[in-house]
Amino acid sequence: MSYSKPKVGVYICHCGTNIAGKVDVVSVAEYAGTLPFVESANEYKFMCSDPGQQLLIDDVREKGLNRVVVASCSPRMHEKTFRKATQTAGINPYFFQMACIREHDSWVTEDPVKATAKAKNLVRGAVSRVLHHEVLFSGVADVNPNVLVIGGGIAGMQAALDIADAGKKVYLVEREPSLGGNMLKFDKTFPTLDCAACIGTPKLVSVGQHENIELMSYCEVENVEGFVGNFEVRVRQKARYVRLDKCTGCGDCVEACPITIPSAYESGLKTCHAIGRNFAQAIPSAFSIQRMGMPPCQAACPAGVNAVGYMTLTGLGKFDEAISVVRERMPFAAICGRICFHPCEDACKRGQLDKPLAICHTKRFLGDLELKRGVFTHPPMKEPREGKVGVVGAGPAGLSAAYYLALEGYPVTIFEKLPVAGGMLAVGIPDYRLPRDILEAEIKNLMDMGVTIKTGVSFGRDVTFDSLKKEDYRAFFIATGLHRSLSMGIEGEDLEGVIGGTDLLRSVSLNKDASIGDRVVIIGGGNVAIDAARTCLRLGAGDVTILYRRSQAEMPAHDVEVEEAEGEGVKFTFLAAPTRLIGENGKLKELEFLKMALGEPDESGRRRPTPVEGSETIIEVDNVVPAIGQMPEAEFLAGLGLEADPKGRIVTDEETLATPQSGIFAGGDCTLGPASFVEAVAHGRQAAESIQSFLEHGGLREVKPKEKHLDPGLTEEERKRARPIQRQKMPALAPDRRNVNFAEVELGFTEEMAMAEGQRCLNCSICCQCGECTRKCGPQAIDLNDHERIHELDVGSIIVATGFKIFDPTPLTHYGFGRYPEVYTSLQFERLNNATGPTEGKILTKDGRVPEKVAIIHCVGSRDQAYNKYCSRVCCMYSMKLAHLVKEKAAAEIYEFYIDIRSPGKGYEEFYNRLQEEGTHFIRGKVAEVTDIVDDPADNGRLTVVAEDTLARKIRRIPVDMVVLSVGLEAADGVEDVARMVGISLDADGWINELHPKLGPLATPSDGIFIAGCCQGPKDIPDSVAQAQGAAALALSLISRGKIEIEPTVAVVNDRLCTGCKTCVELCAYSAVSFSEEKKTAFVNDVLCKGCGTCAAACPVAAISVQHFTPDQIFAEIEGILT
Amino acid sequence: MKYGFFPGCTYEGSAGYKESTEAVSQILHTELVEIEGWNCCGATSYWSLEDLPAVVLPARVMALAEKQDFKEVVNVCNACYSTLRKAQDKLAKDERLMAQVNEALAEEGLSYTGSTKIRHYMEVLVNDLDPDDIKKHVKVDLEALIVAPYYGCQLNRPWGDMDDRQHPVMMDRLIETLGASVPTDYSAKTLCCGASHVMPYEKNCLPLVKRIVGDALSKGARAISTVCPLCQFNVDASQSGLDLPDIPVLFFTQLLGLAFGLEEKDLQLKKLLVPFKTN
Repeated sequence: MSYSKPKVGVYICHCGTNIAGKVDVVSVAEYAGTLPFVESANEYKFMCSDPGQQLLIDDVREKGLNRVVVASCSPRMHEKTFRKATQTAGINPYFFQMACIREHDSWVTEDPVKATAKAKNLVRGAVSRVLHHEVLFSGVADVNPNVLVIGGGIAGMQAALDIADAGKKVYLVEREPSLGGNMLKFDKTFPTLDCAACIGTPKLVSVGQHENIELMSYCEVENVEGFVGNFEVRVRQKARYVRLDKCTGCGDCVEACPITIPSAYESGLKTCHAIGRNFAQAIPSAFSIQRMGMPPCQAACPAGVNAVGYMTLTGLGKFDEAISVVRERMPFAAICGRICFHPCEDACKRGQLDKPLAICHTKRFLGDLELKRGVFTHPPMKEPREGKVGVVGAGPAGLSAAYYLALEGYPVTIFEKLPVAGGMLAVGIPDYRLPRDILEAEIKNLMDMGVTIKTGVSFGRDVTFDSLKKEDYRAFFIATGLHRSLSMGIEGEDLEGVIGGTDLLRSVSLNKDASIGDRVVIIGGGNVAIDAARTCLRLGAGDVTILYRRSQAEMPAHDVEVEEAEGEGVKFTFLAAPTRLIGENGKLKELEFLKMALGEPDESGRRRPTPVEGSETIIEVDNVVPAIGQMPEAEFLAGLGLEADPKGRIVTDEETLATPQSGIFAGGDCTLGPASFVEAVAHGRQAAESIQSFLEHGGLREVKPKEKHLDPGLTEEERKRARPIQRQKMPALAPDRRNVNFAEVELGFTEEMAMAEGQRCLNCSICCQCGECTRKCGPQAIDLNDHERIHELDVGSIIVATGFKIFDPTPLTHYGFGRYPEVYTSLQFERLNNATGPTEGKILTKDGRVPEKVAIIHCVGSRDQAYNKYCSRVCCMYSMKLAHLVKEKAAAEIYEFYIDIRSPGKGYEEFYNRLQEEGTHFIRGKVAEVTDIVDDPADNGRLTVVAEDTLARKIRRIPVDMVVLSVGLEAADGVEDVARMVGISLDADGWINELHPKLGPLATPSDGIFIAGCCQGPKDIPDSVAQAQGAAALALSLISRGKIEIEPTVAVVNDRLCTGCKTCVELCAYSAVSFSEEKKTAFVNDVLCKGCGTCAAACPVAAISVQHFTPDQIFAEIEGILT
Repeated sequence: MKYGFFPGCTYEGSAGYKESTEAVSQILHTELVEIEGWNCCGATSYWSLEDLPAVVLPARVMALAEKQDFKEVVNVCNACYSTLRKAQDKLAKDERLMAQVNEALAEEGLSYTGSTKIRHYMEVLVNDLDPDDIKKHVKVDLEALIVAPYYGCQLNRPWGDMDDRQHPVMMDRLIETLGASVPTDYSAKTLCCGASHVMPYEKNCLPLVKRIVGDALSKGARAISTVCPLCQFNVDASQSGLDLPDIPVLFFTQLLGLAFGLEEKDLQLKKLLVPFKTN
């Protein structure tokens, strides 16, 4: 409240007859004059006019007024005008209040008496309020001169060029890999028939070369914050996988790419490859690769093997290239292909259709092929370098680490306690699953790379960390696995004849000897139990039973193994657990067990077995083999001096595999617990990377961005790509030939089988990163390790030019799109006409004939109550253009079925006349259906268009060779996201809402956001270009003003009242309120605050209020209106 | 399941529709209980002529159904189905007309509220039964029989709320459930058969039937299946004037009966003008 006495001037505007025609303005003015503090009250015809404003200004000066009330139109129209006038008169503009007696009164009240009374109330309210107004000053912010244009079609490019020519910087963000939008897809454009490429490509080139335009292609806007003059934009650049600066556009890569998909650019009329370019003249001219994400197979593999890559190459018969892909992530193809539990196959999307790809068997085929040829393909080895690394344990984890370290050039020595290398591969997995010679051959490969393996060396006894450090070893990887059998903890376990599962397998592997009697009981349900059981059969035991305390469903062993065991004659007793072992003279004689019942689930999620009272059973046995789990050797662990968890697993960092001791890393079973071969191999690679970081950078690592995973659900496009090939069945030894020896049971795929399997791949990631294109690329422009990037931009204004998409006519089943091959959308037909399209510009049916008759159906999806009610504005013209092109190229008869012909532009009506003179048959009437039923047998193979010819009053049935549907325009996909990000809205048809349909087509209610082109509504190219230039002008106008006013109607916190509840902070939709812990008060960022008042309403102690909308002011207005 | 049943005027006289429907509905446990005292629906001709009486006729049928406690009225004729639904739609939008109709119905102590659901027996079988409920009764292997499903024009238009208006698939699925085959691309599914114009304008209607029959033949069908007595009659009877090979036109219930292995007394195939040969 100011200190001087308020002197209010009131002005009642007639607004011509808009207000005065309903409201008695004279009496309202008289009434206003009687109100307290009102010095003068007048009515005037047009307050917003110059004399009207001058009246106000003069009164203020001459009568010493310090408050002004104008009762006229909506504040949205003229609040700014009158505030400025008030300011010109010499008083603070916020001492002004407007009463709306037009939109709120004269325009909506029927009775003049009531309207006048209401006007008086409103004026009284305004006068009452203005007495409480305070001095306020607008803030000022700078306008960032950079401009963001979203969309690289004709409108976006034109706007960018105009702004850039004015010397300002433009960021042009286009989500396709190249510029041009829809226009560049067309052939000739109406009405001049100049070709779109001829007029469009110069624009493309100008944009590409302009020093002020930063072209961000294959990018999408992800987030926009800030306000006019000061926007912060986050742009996501998709991975192109091709270097823009190196690609020459030669196209060699396309021929090499094995993937074919329907081309979206050609509207499905043609196929394209995963690597490609929209058309030859594209800017940027570089190619790009479509990669949808990491496919489920690769994502599921602990080692990250690129399954889709090597399967695709195998499908083509390119076995050498396929094995190269395998060896990037899996050193042991022949081993892995025999024993892996293949989580990749469980994730394979083909499995949702019929059966997953036989990824594992195929890998085995590739590994075996190389072994047969005596070849070992691996990534190129780097130059030898310093840094001896010691690996403890020659199991899969240790061997894998050695492989990767050797590739990097490090000298590696593996110390292995047992007399053979291989770890569990040698002494845990029996020969009939993994033959000795295969294992030895793949280990020899490593040795050929320079890896040294010393067997018979016990770490902790023969060598120690200290002894090795003295020999210059600088880093160590502990991969000792878990070789000790877990004991059951029951009476009699030390009797002769009791052999641990792992011990049994090891003995057999090393000595091929183990004294096994006839009746053997294996305790346990995992893979070791199964392996032990099948081994016992092969050793001659006649009666082998697996005793498991849960039921078959809970068995951890892989189903395939259980089936094979059953097939070989292993018996199973479920829901039984041993209680004691009974011996005689120290030798095992009998086993006693209890029956079990399943109770509540335990921490593994499986139901806990509970003993059934009194169900003890005793059976005679020769041997009992406990195979219930594995553990490390405790003394060894203690000797290492490394920390272990209660289960005996060495503690390491999950990412780096580093132990707390510098330079010592650990991985595989000894850290994971009993895991799998592929997890161990993955750890080996992880450790190698960490060791390299440690040796080169002291442990610092580059954080690499991770590729996003594909959605695991099968899509329609993927389903359509499936070739009708069944999953190949692995040939195997006949069941009766199996359990008598240790020969390999599974025999392996042939070349034909592997190729067939590779061809079953659905290529869900599209690009499979097989590397064929990389190998073919002369300039070495392809980088398959590319990834998404985020860019942060600062701009002052944004022009949205996102364009349109065509209406999809599939739901209009009576037109037969998608049912009959010769029904096309207009865009498809444009591609047929375009010289860079699927037929190089010739008009041909899908079976290669030149059409004799073509029908063009107008208004498909437009002017339609059931779809889009609006007229799409360009279809009549483009239909006629297409008719002309058909006439020219194919000399066919054209039938155009229309409702009305709309040809309003310059030269448009003349174009229509020309088409009529050319002999196009224009038939006024909606088409009822397009059908393949013809009445004359001579027309067999044609389509019949059935329509009412309303001018001739006949039903026409016209047989034609091709039907073109002139589909309407709709807003482009994703426009709702862009609109939401920049803070604008869409209308009911999906087009962006402009500020005013007549006077403000390019501005939006959000300051600084402009629109141009079809995103605002369907239009032709001349109008799009005009709008683009207009939007550019608006942006430049903002820039040239240089500064913008920030309204002071923002929230303010009274820090003495603030209690720190932070309710306001959470409520603010614009993130304008924060809390300062030091000052213990909330505070408002007045540039972000939009003055919505939510925080003020919510504050429980009324510590926040919105300037110019304080409770006093609001209540005063309400009281004024109501009394 | 019990349904109110509106047979319509042509049910008894048509070529085996009554016998096959009765037999099949028993086997499938879809009890069709005839509405007592039903009257002609007025079909298409009356509907075009007289406003109030044209609406009262179908309204009376529905009012009878309401009185007899039927929630649903099952039709076996496209015209009956269409007329009842059109009357229902019209009365729902026009209170005054509904009042007039009820005034007329009140003479008989009837009242129409529009609460009954109007069904067609073919879609009852598709929507209310599980395919396995039908499959389990199939005894005859019809795999070699290719049947063109002819829906007629009034079943799915104008509503299109049960199936596509232009290329519906319900009857196709039903035929496949029976183990028979359908042509993959029969285009005449919803073409007009000429309806009652076949009598006075025979020559004009011949091309209509020619398209229905011609397309079935060219797409490899050996029989046509219908869901309406007039469709069946028109397409059956007009074939002599077509100059095309003959193709038998069955009711869908006769096809069901064939699959279920029923005897001639329930199928009455001998009533078909173009004979159906089982080979």
